[in-house]
Amino acid sequence: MGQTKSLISYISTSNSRLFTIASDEDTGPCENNRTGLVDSEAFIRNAFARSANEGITLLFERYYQPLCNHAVRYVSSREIAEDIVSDLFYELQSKEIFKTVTSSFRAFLFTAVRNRAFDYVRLEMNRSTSLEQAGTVSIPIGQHPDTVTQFEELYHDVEKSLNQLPIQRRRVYIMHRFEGKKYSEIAKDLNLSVKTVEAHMAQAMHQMRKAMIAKWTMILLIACNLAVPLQGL
Amino acid sequence: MDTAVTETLLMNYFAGQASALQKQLIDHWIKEPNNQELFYAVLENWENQHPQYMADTRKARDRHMERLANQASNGAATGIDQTERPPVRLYPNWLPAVFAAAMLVLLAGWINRDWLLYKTYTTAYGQIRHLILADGSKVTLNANSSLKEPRFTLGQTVRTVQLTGEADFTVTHTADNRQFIVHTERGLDVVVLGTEFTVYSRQPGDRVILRKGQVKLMYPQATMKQSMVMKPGDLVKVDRKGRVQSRTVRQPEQYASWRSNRFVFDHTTMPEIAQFFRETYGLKLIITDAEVASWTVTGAFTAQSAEELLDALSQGSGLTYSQHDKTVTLAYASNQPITITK
Repeated sequence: MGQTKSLISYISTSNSRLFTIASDEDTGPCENNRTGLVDSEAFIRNAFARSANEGITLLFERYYQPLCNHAVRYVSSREIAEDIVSDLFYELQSKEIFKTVTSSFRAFLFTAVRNRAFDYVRLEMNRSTSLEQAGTVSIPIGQHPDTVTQFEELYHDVEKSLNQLPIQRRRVYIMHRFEGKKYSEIAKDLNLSVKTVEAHMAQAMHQMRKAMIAKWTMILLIACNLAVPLQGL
Repeated sequence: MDTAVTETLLMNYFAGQASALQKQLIDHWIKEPNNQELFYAVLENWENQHPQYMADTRKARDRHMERLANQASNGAATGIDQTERPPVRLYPNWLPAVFAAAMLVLLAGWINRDWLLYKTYTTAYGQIRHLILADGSKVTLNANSSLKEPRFTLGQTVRTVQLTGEADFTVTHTADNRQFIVHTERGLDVVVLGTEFTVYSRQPGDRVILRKGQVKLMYPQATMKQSMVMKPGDLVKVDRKGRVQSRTVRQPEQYASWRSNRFVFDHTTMPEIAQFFRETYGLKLIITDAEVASWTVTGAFTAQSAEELLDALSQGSGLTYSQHDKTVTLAYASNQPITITK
């Protein structure tokens, strides 16, 4: 038996239901919590100290999936979500930003992805024409909302407006945007003409934009106007 | 920590179920940098629990590396992926190579009939494999383990596999009610129809934990086989001398948490920890410091490798470690190092 001393105070990153924190030296819950959260990345930081490739690999393994999952809620396109996240990882390594990150990588990555996804939605809302090229246009870094809850509000609204589409139209929208299918493929799958698919897409875009615009005009469009001069670069 | 914002509240908030007041509370609460860390930790957790689709992480990483290499080679990177495929070539001399390979396979099969009759899955130290057997049953094979499955089952009335090490089973029920039997080297047989359970068979003894359904255990006693029926939540141990112990555990799924690289310790003693490292990662720990050796470990850890788990264990406990080959040296951060030898 001897002295029973619990070894660990460590915040598990996944389901913490089974987790118990027990500590003899009480450092105060706040302090404990913070170090616990940051320390769960100690392994990644150690890997970065050895080599950038090793570090970035661990970041990919741990955060790529949840980040894409998060981004897709705003942009409702798998491809664009993955581009946003991949670009971020690329800059993180090629510009050696990882050396200057002072928060946890998790907080850094999520904040950046949310900002970029927000920028993308703003760009998309302000476009009058097709969005096909949006992925290739570099997204200007504009102003971001100053309250964190606006981010959640935005993707909840995206989801809501998507849910309000008529079923067939929503199906077309998801097949095109989310699954990345071509109009001709969708037409074949759903037994429609290509023209109908095109019309559905245009209507879906219009409807979603309309649903969003009443609430978001102020934030998105005004911020976008500020960002317009940057677009030329 | 501000207790008004809890993990549950954040989870509801991400799911779009927070009230306007609660949102305002969060907006205020997050201005504190420490709280931001918690916020994103819960967000990560929530996203992991509510997947929208599965992204191909490996492909994304490979593309990332390719892109970096391109940038290095031509200075000004455009950021456009070159997804051109390498040309496919049919080598004129492929036929002899295939023929030779086929001959080798035949020869190997002839020499090694065991290989021909059984398909063997093995895992290295620190590796976990997910398998689907011919009948659709799912098996997760823990580190340093092997599972033998007969290749030819035509006309067989039972499904049998041979296990060394540890594995978790989700057995499918067949239309013709065929039994599924797990044999261990010690002669323990776990007989089931369709259920979920974990079997552990290593040097210290055998162990079966049942999560769902019903299984029958057959174990050698003196000259004949004894049998007993297990209920969900039962844990049965058979030690080296063949003694059988049965008890009920509250959370049988904890014994299978290693499947998701999650390790749950509940007042686990250091010798048990050392044994765990030896079996799972092939690392030998002997603890010479009496005080450290008397510690117990409680907690749940997510770790992809031995190093990650060691990191997690030493964080916050005041221990440091260094590793040389298969020997790990644990030290009190404040004291002289304690050497742990093979």
